Amino acid sequence: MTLTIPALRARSARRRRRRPLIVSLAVAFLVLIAVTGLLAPVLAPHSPDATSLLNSLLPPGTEGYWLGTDSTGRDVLSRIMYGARLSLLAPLGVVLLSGVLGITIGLLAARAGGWADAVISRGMDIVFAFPSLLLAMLVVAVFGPGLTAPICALAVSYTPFVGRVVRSVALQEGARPYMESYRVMGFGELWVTLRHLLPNVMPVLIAQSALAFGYALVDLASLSYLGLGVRPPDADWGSMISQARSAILQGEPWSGLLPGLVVLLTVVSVNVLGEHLGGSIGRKQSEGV
Amino acid sequence: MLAKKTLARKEAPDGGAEDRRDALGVSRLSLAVGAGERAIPLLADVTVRVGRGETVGLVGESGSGKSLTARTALGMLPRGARATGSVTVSDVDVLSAGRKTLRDLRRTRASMIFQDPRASINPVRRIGDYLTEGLRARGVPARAAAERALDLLDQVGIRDPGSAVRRFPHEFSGGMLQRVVIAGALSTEPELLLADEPTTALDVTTQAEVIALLKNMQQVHGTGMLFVTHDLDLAAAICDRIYVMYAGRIVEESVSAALFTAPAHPYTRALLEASPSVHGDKVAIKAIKGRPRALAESPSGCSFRDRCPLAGDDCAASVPAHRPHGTSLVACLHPEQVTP
Amino acid sequence: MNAPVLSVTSLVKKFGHFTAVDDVSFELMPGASLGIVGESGSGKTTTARILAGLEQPTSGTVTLDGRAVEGHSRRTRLWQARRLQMIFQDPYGSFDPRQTIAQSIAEPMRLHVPGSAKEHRARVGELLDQVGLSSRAGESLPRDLSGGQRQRAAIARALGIAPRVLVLDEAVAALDVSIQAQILTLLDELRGDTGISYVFVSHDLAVVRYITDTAIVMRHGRIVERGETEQILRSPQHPYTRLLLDSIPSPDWDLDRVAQDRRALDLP
Repeated sequence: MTLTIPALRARSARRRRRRPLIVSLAVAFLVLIAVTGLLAPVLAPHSPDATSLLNSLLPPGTEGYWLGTDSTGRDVLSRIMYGARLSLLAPLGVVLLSGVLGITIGLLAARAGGWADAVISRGMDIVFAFPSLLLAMLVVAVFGPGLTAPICALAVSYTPFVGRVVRSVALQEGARPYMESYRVMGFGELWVTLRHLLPNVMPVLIAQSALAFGYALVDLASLSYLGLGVRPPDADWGSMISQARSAILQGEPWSGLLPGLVVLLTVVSVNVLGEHLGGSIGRKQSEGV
Repeated sequence: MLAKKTLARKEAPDGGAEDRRDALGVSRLSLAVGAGERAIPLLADVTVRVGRGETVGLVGESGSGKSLTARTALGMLPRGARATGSVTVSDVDVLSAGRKTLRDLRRTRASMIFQDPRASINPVRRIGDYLTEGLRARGVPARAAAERALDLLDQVGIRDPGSAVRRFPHEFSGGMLQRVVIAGALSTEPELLLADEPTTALDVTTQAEVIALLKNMQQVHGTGMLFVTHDLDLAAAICDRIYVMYAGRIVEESVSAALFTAPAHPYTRALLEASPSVHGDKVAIKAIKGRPRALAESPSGCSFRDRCPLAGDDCAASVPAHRPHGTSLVACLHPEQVTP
Repeated sequence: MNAPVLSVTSLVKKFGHFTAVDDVSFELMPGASLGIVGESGSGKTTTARILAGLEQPTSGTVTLDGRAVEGHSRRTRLWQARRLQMIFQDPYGSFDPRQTIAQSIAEPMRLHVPGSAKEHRARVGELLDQVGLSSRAGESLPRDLSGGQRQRAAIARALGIAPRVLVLDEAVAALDVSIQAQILTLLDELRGDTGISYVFVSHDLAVVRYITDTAIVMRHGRIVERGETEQILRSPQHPYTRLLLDSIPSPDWDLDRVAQDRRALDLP
């Protein structure tokens, strides 16, 4: 007989929440990449390290080497599949590490306020202004190549990126009356921050992290390209592009272009997903008010 | 004020071709967003008339559609909304008017004041610019507009208008800023002033000042005013006639003096009984069960029947037509049970 | 039993050079209801916030349940919270948007009221019932409830701690008239049933008249008039109270008299 407001809202919300095609495609692609990386030993047609000078620089479409081979005759498809492991895990490490650091620092700044906030915020500005790749290169120069050092370096340089967002959302969220009502009910500052503030900051953070993941992937690929990241013979996409340099100059661009394309698609997918998450959170929050 | 009331009545006779003399004529207005199955109705069969120089109250709770009705008079419909019926301001047909006609209408014939004066003034422009803007758009020369702005500020009781025009909105209190907005709204000598809860955000003593000013200005300029409010007492205090809205419909129209003594609609009476008063003896208040509804969620037949203590089976049959009862026009099947 | 449950002596709060609350004193007996009336800038909300421990007074004392509230330590705050709770104006913002209403009501109970999770759940059910909310409303998120339902839920949450004093800061100001009446009658019933005391902060004299026995009128941080609420309304002594009263619209509203009152008060 009667429609209630929640019913009306749910109806329009359902319509709006329908996921756009582009987002579905992005998710599908990311799942595909992740699964191929995970199951590379089962799925890959060749060993990623098996060199064969007879089969070097085969073009894509060759029987048995569907995406061709690189200059040392390694199968590009297999290397892309194995490369997905490091190429996805390393940025994930960066995102998680910078997430933990950023949340801590951002919440601290927002809740402490006053001079502590000022000091933390200026500190973040300084790190923010420092080019992340340069920092990573410096760290690699000191600690030697390998993935751990650049991951930590990038995590540090991404921390302000996360910390700023957390701080601004926490300030905005912390000004809402429910924070105050918990204080009146006798709850401690730490409880309110962790139990109520953090979960309400989290959605924005997740969207932000998706974007950071994309940047980290590109930065790490750049490091690998410069020969500062993954050590051969381990495969990751950046190093594959790097090793294809001479082949590209010889007019055989495939072994570099294909991993490049995978990097591009992954980053675009992650960004599409991040935008979508951010957008739907924005809608949810505006409905909540 | 009484003399004024009869004057307004005489100037604005009912019906027929004379209707175009009204400042505002809303007739059988229905509004819905969306189409087909998904359409959400917002207003149904709303008829409101504001004579020249008359003050008319539009009273209702949230979701009643009172602000929506007022905004329609300026052609400000919600996005994707479709309207039927007619809305005329002076002799302009608002619903069929093009963009240019609407712009001219808003510039010269009808003005609107909102609840929050800070939201309706550009915060980075000076008060003087705000006031002269509308005049300049009408083709008033810069110098004359500036003089007029000073004059207007003086009229609304801003001290030292000469320095006020050079100041920014944030330098004014809410009450003072609402005065400026009123000055701006009346600067173009409109025939119709739409006031949407203009004093709700103000303190009660400030409200009294702003209302006094608004009434005074309106009388001086002969402007018809549609006063939208949730406050029955306020409406009764300043309006000649009152329309009570509930769930997107007008449920009662009455001369405001009679509304308090002889409400004809159960909703009007329930509202009066639910409002505590500072005057007279302390009487218990009676809450109305349920919550105010929007048109889309209201029951079939009489929208108020699920909250009405007098509702019977006949109330569900169809939406009650407006019928005269006492001095009221009421959309209820049993007005005699409300006030004999 | 004749000792006040709350007494405030010479309360002063300064923000920089601005004195928001200036020498405010009052007492509240158990089961009584006190109105604090004033307009914006009167210091009424700051007073309420001091009572709730959200602000520290510059000087003066708040005595709650026979003991002076001193300092800001965790123990003091817990002690204070168990005896005094506050309802805010904004029923939309006073809940964590991610928690259901029942979860929000149970949370402070776990902090203050000993008992098992099962006992708490049962108590939440009772409280929802007491404030007139269905158990379905208890399972809803705050955004799915109407303003009036949220304010009921806020009252239930406060009652869960079983405080002796409830401070209501413009608690019905944002509600529609018909809903406001529901909340007011609910508050009236609850006071009758539980013997809780109210400090009712409001700009609305009509509402204060309905819900309080005694009242103080504040202006510019100071108390200008105090007494029985009915008495204040019938024969206001201070010109400001008179201005407040005459400013309230009514069918025979006389704006000239308001102007006179204002002149009597030497306002511009």
